[in-house]
Amino acid sequence: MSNASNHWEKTKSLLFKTLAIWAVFAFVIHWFGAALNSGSFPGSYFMAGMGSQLAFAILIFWFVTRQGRIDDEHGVSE
Amino acid sequence: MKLEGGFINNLSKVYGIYTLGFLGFVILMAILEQVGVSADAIGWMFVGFTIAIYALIGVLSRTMESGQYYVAGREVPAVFNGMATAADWMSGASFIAMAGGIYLKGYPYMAFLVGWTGGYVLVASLLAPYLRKFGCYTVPDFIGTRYGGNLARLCAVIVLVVASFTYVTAQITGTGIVASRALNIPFNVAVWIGLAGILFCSMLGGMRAVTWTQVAQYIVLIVAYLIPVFWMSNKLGYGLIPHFAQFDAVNRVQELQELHQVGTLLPTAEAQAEAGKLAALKVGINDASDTLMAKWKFFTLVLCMMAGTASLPHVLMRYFTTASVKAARQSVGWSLVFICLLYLTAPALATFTKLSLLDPNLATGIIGKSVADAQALDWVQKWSSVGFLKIVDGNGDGLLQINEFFMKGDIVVLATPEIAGLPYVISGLVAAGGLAAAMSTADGLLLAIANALSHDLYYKIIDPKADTKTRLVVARILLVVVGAAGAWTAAQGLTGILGAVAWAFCFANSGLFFPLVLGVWWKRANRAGAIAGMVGGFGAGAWYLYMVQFGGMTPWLGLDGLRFGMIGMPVSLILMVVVSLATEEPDEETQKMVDEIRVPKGKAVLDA
Repeated sequence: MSNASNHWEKTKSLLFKTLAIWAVFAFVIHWFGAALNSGSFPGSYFMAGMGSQLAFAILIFWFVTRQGRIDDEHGVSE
Repeated sequence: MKLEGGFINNLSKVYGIYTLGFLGFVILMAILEQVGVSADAIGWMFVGFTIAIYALIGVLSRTMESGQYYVAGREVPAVFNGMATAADWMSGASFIAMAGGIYLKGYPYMAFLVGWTGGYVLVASLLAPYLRKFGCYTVPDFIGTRYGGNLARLCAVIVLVVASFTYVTAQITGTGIVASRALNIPFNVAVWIGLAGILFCSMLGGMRAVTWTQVAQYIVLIVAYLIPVFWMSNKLGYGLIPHFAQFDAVNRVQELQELHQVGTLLPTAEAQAEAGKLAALKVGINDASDTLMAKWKFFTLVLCMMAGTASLPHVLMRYFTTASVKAARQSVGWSLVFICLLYLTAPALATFTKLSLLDPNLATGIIGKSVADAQALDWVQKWSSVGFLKIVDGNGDGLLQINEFFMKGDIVVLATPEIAGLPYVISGLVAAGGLAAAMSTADGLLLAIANALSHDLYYKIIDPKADTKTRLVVARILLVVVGAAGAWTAAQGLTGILGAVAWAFCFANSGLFFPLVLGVWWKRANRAGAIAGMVGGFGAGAWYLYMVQFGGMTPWLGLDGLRFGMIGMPVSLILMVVVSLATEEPDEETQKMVDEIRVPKGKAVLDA
């Protein structure tokens, strides 16, 4: 496999991982919002108001690091 | 001031001094208030001083080079571009309307928070780095070159103009609301004053000027948003950091909701008729419903707002200005960090305001107490007189029940300093922040529209031989014309802030999301497919919106006017895939171009 197509395969696989994590915090958790509210902690309020947003921010920086590493390995970074 | 190494290398220093200067100005205003300067004068000074600074930055950043005018010379560092994007992104709706929406509509409304942040994951992973490598000046520039032909470019220009114009009208309206309240002038006049300020920032220096004013506006708006919330959290005794303190407050509000019968004690038809468009509190603070419909509505709103984020041209074009592909990716992360500073705070603000009003143990808790006492309060009178608030003693018992207190959501941000009894200087600060938020977004949107018209329609389609000078003159004339059209529409008062904003997201995702994403990720996508996707998706979405909003059609599966992207996007995807596969695959040159944008190394495709 050529260097370029190898790079793109890895990039695609990173994209799918990123989107899978994204989907959990964007959709799955809130689908079960009502179930998060047990005891004295307002779980659905926390996840929609803070939790998902923080997860997205961390996810982007994680993605940027991983993608940078893939680019370096294949000698295509700037 | 002489800067060693030029402006770009001294950004931290310049904006550090600017931030200290702004805080000094706030303290000066606080002192002036103490020595008896009137509230009106302080309002004028806040608005005047901040607009003057933005205009000054706009004039200092003037340029006659097309690379500077369209993409700020591609030298904006990732962190500062993140700040500029945050200001570009956070509009009057985020600043003024969001906390009020959470206050009045509770948990379902928080789908906006999730959607408007999660969209950045899509921007970072699917689009921004690839568009940066491509090296285009505008979003239609990418569509036009990737798919080839003037028709594809024209379709993208049309979708961009419709989506952005819907949005910019709402922003100019927001500018008008804040300016008219702070300066005590009629709304129709305030709209034009706001537009003059907006044009001053963008006309002479294009993207370069807008970038550096947006950074300045971000600093003003975030300071203005955070100070009152921190102050309230401490004043109410819930703790130093409102973000951690809010959960106790939520629990307390839930107790108070039972006391005040929130959700069961609804306004009577007569009271509601008297209150008009104002709303009483009818839902609990954290009622995540278990019904399938409620889950579906949350899901669809999140999806529409996310895909819209990733297809709104004024956001995407901010990532054309970074120095490298890697910086573009990092910059998306920083954008979200700066956005979260405000978005994480909005629920806390809504909750503390609710607590202030509902808790009978607090001096500010007016619900459940005497109507006459409430009506004697300064802030109640002031906001009633401008139609933002109304008390209707429906049952005539002289006590203020939850179903008798009507308000407009915007009041949560604008009046909170007064409700919580903070000094007037904070209200002036909040007005300056709201203005910064609405102006910065309007700047980005106007520039996106005018650049698409001047670069894609005029230069690429009508007169490809035009020289740089003519192009930049045309760009500026179009900026003024589009701005005037926006202000004129806003002055007619047709749209509320939030309705129009959600529409813009759905227009953008119906028409542009799949043509953009598949242009990078699917080599087989071709011109016929892209045109079918744009026309079909945008057409289907617009038709559905028209039928639901004005044609009296019953929404399908609960998909109301805020969610019409759920109709437009699938139509766009299916048409684009089917038509692409039914026609010839793109030529070799195009396929090579797609390969080029997929690796960060090397020159930008359009520069090569």
